[in-house]
Amino acid sequence: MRKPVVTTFVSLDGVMQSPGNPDEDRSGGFEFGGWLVPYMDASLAAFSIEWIQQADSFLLGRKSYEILGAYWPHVSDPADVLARQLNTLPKYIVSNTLTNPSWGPATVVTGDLAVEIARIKADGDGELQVHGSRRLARSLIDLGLVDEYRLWVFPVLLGVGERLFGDGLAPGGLRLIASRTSTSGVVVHTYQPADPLTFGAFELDVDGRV
Amino acid sequence: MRGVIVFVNSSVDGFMAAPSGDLRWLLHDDETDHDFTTDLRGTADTILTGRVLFESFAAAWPERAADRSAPSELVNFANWMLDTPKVVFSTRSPDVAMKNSRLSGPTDFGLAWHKAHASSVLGLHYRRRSSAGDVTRSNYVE
Repeated sequence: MRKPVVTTFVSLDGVMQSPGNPDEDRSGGFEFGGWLVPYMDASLAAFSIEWIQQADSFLLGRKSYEILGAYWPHVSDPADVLARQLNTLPKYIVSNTLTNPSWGPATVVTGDLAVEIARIKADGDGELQVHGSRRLARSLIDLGLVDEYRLWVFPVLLGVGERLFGDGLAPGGLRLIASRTSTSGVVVHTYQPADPLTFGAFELDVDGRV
Repeated sequence: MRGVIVFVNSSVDGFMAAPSGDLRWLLHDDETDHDFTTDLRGTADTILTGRVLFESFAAAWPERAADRSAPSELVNFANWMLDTPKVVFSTRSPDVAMKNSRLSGPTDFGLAWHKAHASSVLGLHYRRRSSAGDVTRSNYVE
């Protein structure tokens, strides 16, 4: 059974819009695209390589598919692990408009997302990795289909922009599985859903401690 | 000139409290309740706070400091809260009779004054404000 893993670059205030390039996603008049670039260093590259080697397949929204597809097919270095994984493993693209995906191997996913994801999960083993893909990620969160989050929290405050965990999210608990920090100050948290959300009593003198 | 440290609890999606001001989602353990804040006490020499949080201090810490049956670390912390200068930012006129407390003027002026007139790090006790604008009582590690 494949395990859906959501990997997202976010600012400290939770914005995931247009991390890698000013023109990636200017929707809503967003002017701060490319905010993660100054923090990309060897340690973050090592995290990327480590995790993408765990991928069995990719689940992407159309825009993320097109952004990745404009770059990675042209990287022919056989030693490039990211290119090898992205160019050879199955990609599932959730889209109602894409009909003839040119960057293969690719399958267009339409229809009932929950049903289709269940089918994709049953069709292999290993990680079904979601990279970027804001609307898709939110749909997966809302459907309770995310098995693991890898949140790359960059030390920037953007104040505006689309968020991974936007308004209207159902409350839920998370369990911290791991946390690591890059030399550039990016903190990468691995979380798994922990259901149900638990509550504690909060008092000044709880258990007689401070 | 010293720096201002904002010390807050936050959910992964960036909230400080539920819309009603509810904080029951906060999890407690010795590390978050004690160790982290002990570190902060080593560097903070002044507490900046809003009125609502300050009033919760005044209601709790003088009594804790005098409680002979309380655990020693709680009494130590209560005494630190009493001994450390506290500056309350409020447009109202709260009772600042708690030891080493005083009311500040408008926020901008007060912050500038405190940064300019001391040499060490300043701890900020920031009150929680929900998205609905409600302010709630909380503990000292905000």
